[in-house]
Amino acid sequence: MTLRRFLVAILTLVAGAALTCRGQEPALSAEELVLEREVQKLRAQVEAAEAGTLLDFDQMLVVVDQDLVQRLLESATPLEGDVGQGFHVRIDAARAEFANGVALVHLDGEASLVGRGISAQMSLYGGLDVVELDPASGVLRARVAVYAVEIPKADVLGIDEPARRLTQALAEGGLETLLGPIEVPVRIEDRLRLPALRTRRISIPALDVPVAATVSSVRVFAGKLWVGVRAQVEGPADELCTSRGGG
Amino acid sequence: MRLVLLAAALLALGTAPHSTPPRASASPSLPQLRAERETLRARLEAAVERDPLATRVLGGNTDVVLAIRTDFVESLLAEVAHQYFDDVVLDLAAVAVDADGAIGTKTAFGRLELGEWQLAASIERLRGRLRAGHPRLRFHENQVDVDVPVQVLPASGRIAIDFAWDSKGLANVVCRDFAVRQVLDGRVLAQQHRLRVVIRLASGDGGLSATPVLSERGVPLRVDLTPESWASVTQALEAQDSPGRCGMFLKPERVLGELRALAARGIQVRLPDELVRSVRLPAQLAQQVRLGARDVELSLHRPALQVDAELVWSSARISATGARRPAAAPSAASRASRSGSA
Repeated sequence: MTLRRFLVAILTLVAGAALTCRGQEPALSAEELVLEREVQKLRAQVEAAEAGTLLDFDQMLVVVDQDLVQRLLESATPLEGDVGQGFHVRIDAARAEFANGVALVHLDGEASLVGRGISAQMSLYGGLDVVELDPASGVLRARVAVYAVEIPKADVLGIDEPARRLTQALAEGGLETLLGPIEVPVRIEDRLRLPALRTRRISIPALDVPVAATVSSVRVFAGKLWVGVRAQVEGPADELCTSRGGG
Repeated sequence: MRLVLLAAALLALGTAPHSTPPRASASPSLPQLRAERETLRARLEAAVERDPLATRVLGGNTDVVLAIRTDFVESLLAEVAHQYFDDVVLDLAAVAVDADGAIGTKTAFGRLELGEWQLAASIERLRGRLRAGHPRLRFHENQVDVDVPVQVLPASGRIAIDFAWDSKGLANVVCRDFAVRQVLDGRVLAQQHRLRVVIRLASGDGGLSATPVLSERGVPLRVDLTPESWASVTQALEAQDSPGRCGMFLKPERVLGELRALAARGIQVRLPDELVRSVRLPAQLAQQVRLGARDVELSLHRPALQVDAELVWSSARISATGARRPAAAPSAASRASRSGSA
């Protein structure tokens, strides 16, 4: 055996070993990814619940039922648009499940490669991980973090490799572009206002009481999303030196 | 060189990044994860059953619950009441007060009535300025009792005094009736009152509203004449103290005493309806949300409000009644927000 042949043999073995290792540790399935998050969140919530601090909210508590979120999502479907990296996605159906520590959102639809005429059914598993108050309107809204995307027939349809990029495209702003944050019908405004009143008999200046509010805790159990809000009334003088916002 | 490139290509192929993370060798298996989730879920459910707030929420068949601690609502309403009544100007023009009395004398045949007097004071031009202190609030049922100290700041204006004497009986034969009208410099005295307001909390159209109702509409406002004006009144009454004018019966000092007593009692000012107005609390159920590029119209059903010592509790069932694409661009998601994480 020449040195050249020997090196080829060694390199083939190394590459083969690498491929074999890859085969032994396949990517986690969508169910596993979701389960891992659920277990992680449930652990924290069980700990809080058993310590008596599960709903230890500050000034306000907003509780939203999973059925309402599902109805809202259904009313917005079908949703369709480009999500980046050459993908076009249409969402036809949505489900929400807030039972296991995670505000799970399951979106079903179709993904296609723009200009390629190839498409496949897809399922997206995401969670309402970040809940916030819209700074302009005060509406409570939640952003959907992408946990996993499944394309059951990706291999058959020949888009297996591009499909790997779909998860990345959706996670890195694609879903946000398509769906945006999910607004919950609760509004916490940043001030209480009353216009000035001037009549023949009475004169009252305008009333403006600033309120600083931020989301302070989020729990998910029993089919509901439980959002604690910290709120503080600020006097007129405080307004000048207290910045709003938080997180 | 070709061999090195071949090796690198093969290695790159073998270790190409996955779109989903690979399983770590120590990761629990799917059955293990499922079992752990069920165990944790059971423990959480058991803990939730012991939580009175959670059981209250879960016991109601609602889509949204908004619970606000009463101490927050209290601090909000206290600030509202404090600011709202902090610089209220009341135009007291046309506010009037009157008094009357009879003057008689004892005779051998009994009491003889000499005449009747009438006194009226009306404000021609005077503006009262109110300034509020810190209120006390008490929650009960769906309302809040507010007791707010209100300071009335001193102010100057013009007050018209009308005095009339009507002789009676024998005095009428020898005396003439007379009337005196003087418009004088007056003033509102610095004084403090307690304004009692009941704030009724209600939910309607998703909003939590606080509607104040004044428990007492009338406030006795103490006004006075300037020393110069008192001197002027005295002079006018004494001018009647001459034969034929019955001032000798009238006793100006007595009328002056009545006038001073009237001022001390205060002029009953009826607070105008516009003084109290409803406010919407800054936390409310919305009737429209945006999802994707659509505005979703919502309809609230069975909105309910409960107030107890701990919480102001608002809840409703919600249905989506329609979605439409708005003309305006969606709000920028990149703006700073007030967020929390699950």
